[in-house]
Amino acid sequence: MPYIKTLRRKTLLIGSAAMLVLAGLSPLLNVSTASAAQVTNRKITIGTSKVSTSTTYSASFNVTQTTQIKGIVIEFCQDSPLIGQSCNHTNGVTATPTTGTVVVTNVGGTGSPLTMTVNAASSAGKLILTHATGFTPVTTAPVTFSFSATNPSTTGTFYGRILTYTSDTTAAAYTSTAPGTHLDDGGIALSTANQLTINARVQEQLTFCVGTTAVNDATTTPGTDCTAISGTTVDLGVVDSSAVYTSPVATGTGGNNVNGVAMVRTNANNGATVSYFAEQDASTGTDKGALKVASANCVSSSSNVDQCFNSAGTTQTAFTAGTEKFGMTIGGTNCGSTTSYTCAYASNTNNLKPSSNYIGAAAQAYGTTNGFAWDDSGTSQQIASSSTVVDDEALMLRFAGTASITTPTGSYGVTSTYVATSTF
Amino acid sequence: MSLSALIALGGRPVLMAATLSNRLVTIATSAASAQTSHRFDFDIVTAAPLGSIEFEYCSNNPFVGTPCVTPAGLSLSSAVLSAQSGATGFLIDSSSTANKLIISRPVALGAAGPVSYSFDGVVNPSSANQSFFVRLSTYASTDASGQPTDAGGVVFSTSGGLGIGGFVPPFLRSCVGLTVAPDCTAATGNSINLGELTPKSVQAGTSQFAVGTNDVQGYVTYVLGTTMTSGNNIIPALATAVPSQPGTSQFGLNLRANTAPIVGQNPQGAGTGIVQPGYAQANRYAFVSGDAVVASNLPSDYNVFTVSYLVNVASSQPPGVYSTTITYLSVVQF
Repeated sequence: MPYIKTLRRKTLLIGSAAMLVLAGLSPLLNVSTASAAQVTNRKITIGTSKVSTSTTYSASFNVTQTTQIKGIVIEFCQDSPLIGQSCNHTNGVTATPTTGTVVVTNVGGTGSPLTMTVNAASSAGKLILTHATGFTPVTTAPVTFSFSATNPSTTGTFYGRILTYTSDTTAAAYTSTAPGTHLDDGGIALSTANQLTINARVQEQLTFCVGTTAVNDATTTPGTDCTAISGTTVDLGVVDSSAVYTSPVATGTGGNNVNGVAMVRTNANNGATVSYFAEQDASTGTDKGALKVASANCVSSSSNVDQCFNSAGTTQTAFTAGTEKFGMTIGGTNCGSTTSYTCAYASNTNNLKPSSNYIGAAAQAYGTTNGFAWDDSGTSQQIASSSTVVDDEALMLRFAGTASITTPTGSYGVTSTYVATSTF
Repeated sequence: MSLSALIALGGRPVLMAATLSNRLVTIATSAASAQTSHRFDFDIVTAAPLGSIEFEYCSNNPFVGTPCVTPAGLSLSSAVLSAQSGATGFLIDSSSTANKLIISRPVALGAAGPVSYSFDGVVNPSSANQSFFVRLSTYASTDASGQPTDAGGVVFSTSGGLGIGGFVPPFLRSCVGLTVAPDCTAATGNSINLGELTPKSVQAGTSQFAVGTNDVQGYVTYVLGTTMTSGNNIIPALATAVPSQPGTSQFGLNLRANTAPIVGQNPQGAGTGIVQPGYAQANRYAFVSGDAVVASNLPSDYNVFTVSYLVNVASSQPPGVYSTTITYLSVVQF
């Protein structure tokens, strides 16, 4: 009798155990989505990570089955990539297509490329593509397609859920929590991000210097930049009536073998001008800015017997030996230090150009054949200008003088001041 | 119009202002430490209430609203607003500082367009060959407070002057010959043959000399020599200027065009040399060795002087070959 009770008990125990096993298995059997394979090599490339911006979304994934595909679903969720879970669309992707078509490509697949219809069940953040006959994919090439959408309005991670269907009807019935029977699926993480703004300031620039140089052409650099320019005096040496003495005057005739030089560097997009004026001395006569013996009173601008060289005036003129005159011209614009653009005086590609009455020679030649000018009144005279930026172009200032036989003996001098003005 | 925006980081001020266009500063002289004038030209780009404009001088950069280093040597204490155009009615405000000029007016609408302001009495910075910046900004307030409406920077450069020198040497040139070029580049002949001397007619001849000098005190030319001599016999020189008298022994000269006899010509050239009394009267002749025949008290271009020589002999003049050597000496004093 005890054995029978034991058997009944055992039987009860076995039955109970079997019931428990069945209860444990039931949830697995009811989740049909757990049987879909994962799409591989899956990605969605967005054109920009800027929030709230319309851009192109490019999807690419490999399927694991060659079963005919008649539906593709992509749903964007802010909270989770898991298939079958609820999907939060708040602040998420918007403006996914709700009408029209999308071309889906699977190289090697039968029926590819296929123009699939944006199903009417599509909504903001949920794209459903369907086709009555679909295409038969290959697993060796990705399924790709692109569409327009607007990024989420917040920065951070968001997700895309990809599902493929062999039934267009089932695809059209997709919901987040009830995706329906499908072939392959997979989740993707995407992210919006802040934009980076880079600020930089380029300040207005004008570097201008005046000095002397032994250079006497338009190509040999007088100095890399203004830090290499120095000197304060151009000496014409012994000036008599037998010749016109033009800088650089050799040391053999008492000169110091230099020209004047004025170098300009500016980033002013409206260019710059260079002007000069003759400093007025303390004399009481006229022509206070002439080449003269210090404080000598000049009789007139045409006298050959006062201790003042007759200035050439504001209009350029050629000099004749023995006819007393003093003046200045620009032999040429030296481009030897210019590096940031093509600059050659001979071909007129220099930006800083001598002004009328201070152009040394015709046809962009370096020289002084056009003659000289000199305003001794102290009025500022423009000698060069540019309409754009200038990179260390240098004006070669050539000075000339000739005495008449009656020009009184003495040491003659004049100081000139130069001003550069940039317009920004 | 361009928009400048500098977003504040680390507590620096925020500057949101439109950029003034076509802006420049023109300085009358670039000499360091010189008192001069500065003129500012620029276009206001924002039509808005305008009460003040600020001109801030800095040696470090032109960016309004950033730290400013005052240029060494700059002085605005004597600056005066000497001219204004475009938006006008401004006066220099008392809130101006050592490196900042603020001009102010009652607030009025400032139209977009070109404006210009000149300041006299500005002392340039003391460093030569250096760039300096001026920050320009317009304000609705009357004391340049608050956010600027428009802003921009300009730059100017000081530079050293350039001296030009030369030396004119002392100059004196003279030449003598039967004929000379006007500028002494040529002189020909050194002997005059007066031929046969006879009591019945005068004998005459000419030579020339030229002089030029840059001596401010001019020059003097002296005649040196003896009268016509043959051994112990002489033809008397004329101690004073008298006419020719054939049949009377005479030796003399002048520097004129004569008619009795017909000989010589007047001085030529643009110079300032003047024939001296005793030798300057036509048809009168003299010769005293050591006399000044030409003089100028100014620098003189070349003059060519023609000397007319006259010889008469009496019937009692002993026969012989009479000759003399005449020297012309030009002297200057520098």
